Amino acid sequence: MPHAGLIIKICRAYTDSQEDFEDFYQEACLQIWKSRDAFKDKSKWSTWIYRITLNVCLTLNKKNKRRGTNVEILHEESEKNTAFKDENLNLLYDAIKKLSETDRAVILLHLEENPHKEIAAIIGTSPNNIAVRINRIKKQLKIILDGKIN
Amino acid sequence: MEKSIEKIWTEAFINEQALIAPKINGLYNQKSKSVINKIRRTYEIDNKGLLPMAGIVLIGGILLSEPIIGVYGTFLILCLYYFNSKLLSQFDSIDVGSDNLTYLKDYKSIINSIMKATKKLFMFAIPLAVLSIFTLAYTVKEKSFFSNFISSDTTIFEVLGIGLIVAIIVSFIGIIVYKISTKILYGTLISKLDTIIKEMEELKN
Repeated sequence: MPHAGLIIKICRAYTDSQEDFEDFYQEACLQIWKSRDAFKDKSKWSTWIYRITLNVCLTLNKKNKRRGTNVEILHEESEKNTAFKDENLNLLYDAIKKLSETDRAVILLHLEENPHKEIAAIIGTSPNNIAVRINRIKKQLKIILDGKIN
Repeated sequence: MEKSIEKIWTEAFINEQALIAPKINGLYNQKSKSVINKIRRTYEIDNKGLLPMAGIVLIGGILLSEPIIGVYGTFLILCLYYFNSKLLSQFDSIDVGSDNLTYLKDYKSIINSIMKATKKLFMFAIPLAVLSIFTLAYTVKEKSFFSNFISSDTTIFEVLGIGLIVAIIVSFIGIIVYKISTKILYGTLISKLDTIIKEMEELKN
């Protein structure tokens, strides 16, 4: 699967267990594969993948919540995040998971070096709003991570 | 915090092995496991439903002063339970070591064979059972519920004639009820199974 790394990065931000991560990842791959014919050259392939993966993550999260998944337990599990070898990255992911679902999407797109215009198009807002939002999110992350990062 | 989040992100992902993608079959393992468990459970519940029915027939037979026919009816239902259990045990014969797609296809073919066997049961075994009950009722000829309908000059052929009509009606209604109940109980699950098989075949090609 091309851009598998991107899908993994997004799915990791929206899941708290390896089992959920694998489910989300594979459902995203399936949806990308199913909707490959609907892809038009108007956007980048990576943007298209991002959109689908994000939709899958939000939909599955909603389903999980409806099933009564305990949010507190998820946060507890997320504190033991060992998904990545890099300890700083694990901490960063834990911090990202504490953000709202939309803020998570914005910061992931920003970290993947997408221009504000593109992030705005995906999220459905203006580039100015994105710039303000990114600053706010970074401040939030800094507070969460303060003193934890080596 | 000394490093910027952008730097942490970029540096960490340069050599990150966690970006190795999980196998695509995992999703299907879980999806198919859930569908298969539901189908199996529904079949088992469905079959176990015959046991209280056997009890009702036995009690009904006694209450209607037809203990022999009651016992015989119970015996037939228990035979049906045994027959269904044997059919369901086919699921255990599937090689769990085979790949997911082969496993699902084997599972589906067993479901098809169970359906075929059940249809044959309604077409042949159930009418035969009905006929045997009529024959038994004629043979017993005791003062009972059925004896009200069988006079002393009624011949075995008359009883068998009526029995045959009843057997055909029972068989016909049985097949219709079976088709409807299968659609209600298993329709969604079987179509889910078909979808998974179809998607996996497409992914394979």
